[in-house]
Amino acid sequence: MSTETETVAARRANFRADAEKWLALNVPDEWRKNRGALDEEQETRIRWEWDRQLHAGGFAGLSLPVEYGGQGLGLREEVLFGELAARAQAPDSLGRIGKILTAPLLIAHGTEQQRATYLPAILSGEQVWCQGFSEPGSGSDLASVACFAQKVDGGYLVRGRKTWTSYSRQAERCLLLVRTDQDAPRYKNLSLLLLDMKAPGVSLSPIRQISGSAHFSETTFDDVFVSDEDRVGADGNGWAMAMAILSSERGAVEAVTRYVEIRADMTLLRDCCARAGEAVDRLQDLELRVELIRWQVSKAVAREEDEERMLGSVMVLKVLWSELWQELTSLAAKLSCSEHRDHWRYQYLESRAATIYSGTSEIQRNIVAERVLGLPK
Amino acid sequence: MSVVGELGLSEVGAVGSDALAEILTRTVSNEPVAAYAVAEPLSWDVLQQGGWDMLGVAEEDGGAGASLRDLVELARVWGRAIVPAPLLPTLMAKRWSASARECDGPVTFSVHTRTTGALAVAPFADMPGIEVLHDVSPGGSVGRAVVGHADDYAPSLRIAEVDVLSTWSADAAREMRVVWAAEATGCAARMLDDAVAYAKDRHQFGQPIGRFQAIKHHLANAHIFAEQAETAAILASLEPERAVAASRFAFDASLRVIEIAIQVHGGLGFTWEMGLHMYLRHVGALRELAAGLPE
Repeated sequence: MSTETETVAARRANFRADAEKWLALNVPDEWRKNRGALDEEQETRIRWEWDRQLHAGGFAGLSLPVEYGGQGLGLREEVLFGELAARAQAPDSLGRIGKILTAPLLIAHGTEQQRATYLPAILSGEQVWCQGFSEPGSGSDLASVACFAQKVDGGYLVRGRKTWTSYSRQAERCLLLVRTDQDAPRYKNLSLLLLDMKAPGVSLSPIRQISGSAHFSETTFDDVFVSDEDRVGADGNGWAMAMAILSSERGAVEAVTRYVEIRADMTLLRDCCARAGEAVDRLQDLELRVELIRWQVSKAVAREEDEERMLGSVMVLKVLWSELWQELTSLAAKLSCSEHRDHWRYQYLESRAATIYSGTSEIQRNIVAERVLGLPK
Repeated sequence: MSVVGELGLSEVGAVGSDALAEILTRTVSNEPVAAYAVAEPLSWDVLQQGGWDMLGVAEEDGGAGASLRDLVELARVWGRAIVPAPLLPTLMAKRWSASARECDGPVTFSVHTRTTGALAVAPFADMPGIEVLHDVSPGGSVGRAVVGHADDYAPSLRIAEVDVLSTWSADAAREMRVVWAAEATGCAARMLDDAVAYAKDRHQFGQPIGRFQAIKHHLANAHIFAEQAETAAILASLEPERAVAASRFAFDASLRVIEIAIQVHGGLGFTWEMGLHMYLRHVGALRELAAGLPE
């Protein structure tokens, strides 16, 4: 074993021990013990506080460079922390859009000024972000977005509608994909802006989901000004920026945070069924497949250096976790005990959306066929 | 009784279900289900004056003499619209009990489900004037129940806790299970139709999404499930010894159809306003009620 490998191994062992110790002391009991019974406001409050705790403890932005306020570790540590957090039944980050989407984008493609302005607030948990990509007429066909940003002196005036905006009520900023040219060809007519959600002209109308909760909004922009300084990449380069955001690395980090939630549901379901002594075979199968998500992520990040193989491993994750979660909640809705009935009904309804948002299962399979297998478009 | 339709369907079932479909179309076809599921679009008086509550009662007892097979057809029509009215429970209560037949108003009964703890729950329990059948059998008596906590998961079924747990004869439990399963298959048939219409109408990438093979396969699978579910409900009505297994299958397959319909509707599918979830909730709650019946 080389000295370098030894150092890396020792560093990882230390990281694991530190993280385990920190989690044991910091995961809120209120979350761990009442997870099935919390209302939406309590959940939001705990998740927001959790972001601040992560930052104070030195566990925010694990895989982001130290010079930008991150911890300078790798995707492996990000994934390892996700696994440990799952075991400790930790909450899910409320600032996930900022941390998972905005921060890596700004590090790769942003200006120094953008990094200095936004990264500290994102990592500290103070600033929540939302994502303005989908529109009522542009769902799976993202490149057809029609929300228009008119070029004016010093910036743009944004007019149009976005839909399925998560965290819009808490968000201060929006990662916004807009059309900036009505004549240029497809893929050359878009730009990516960082829009102030508290600016005049932004209005929200909540979209009530099938579970009855309203995690999403339809967001209307009525001549909202965005300065040139808040455009990421060149004017007309928005599609490339959007693709960078939806890059393969995101898939692994996203999946590991999903694993946190699915792991907690799996544990709860096992408890529910243990009492009734039911569905032993199906539970064993689900249990294994939940852990396969974790191992699939580990395998994918272990291939970090080999982009092609990593892509093949990462691109199956969304389909795997979303469809597994649906299967799990369907079984739970059927076998639920009376104590957790409301939790399972809620999760069952919520999980129906998981194969639709962030790229439907159909689009995901197209991506696997075209980008991984190279089948003709 | 003359057999006029497929697999033992009689005239009462064929004509009755057509007429019921017409009433339901008139009542709610222009209304969004998310709105009418929590309202009262069809009053009890209209149903009672039309004699719908007596459809399943034997001819010698003053009813129309519909068979269980006929009721499957009727329940399927009812399930297409999930109008929140206590027609099916009342119709079944009157089929079995003389004292239920003496009530002008709606009648319900209760079951004990796995998620209601020690309590009994009854569909439409909080409707004004509804009676609860204590013993679902020929000699059973009716009375008022004290209504407790309402379960708002499936608004179209108005389920609430009651202080009376009905007892069930084996035949009554079997028939109710089959009718609820048939209702679920009607929900599925409607959701399949809606999803197919949406796939023809919604455009992405410059074409109707129904042209994409991924969507075609979803809808073809949904059609297969819906067909099987319908067959299972019919089988359940005709082969008593398989009624439990076939009903279970019908519920599960119907839920799969509705889940696919939601998927095909994309983002709209998981909005409250679009209302597909009302069907998902309705069938989930029916399955739970049916599972609470004695086997």
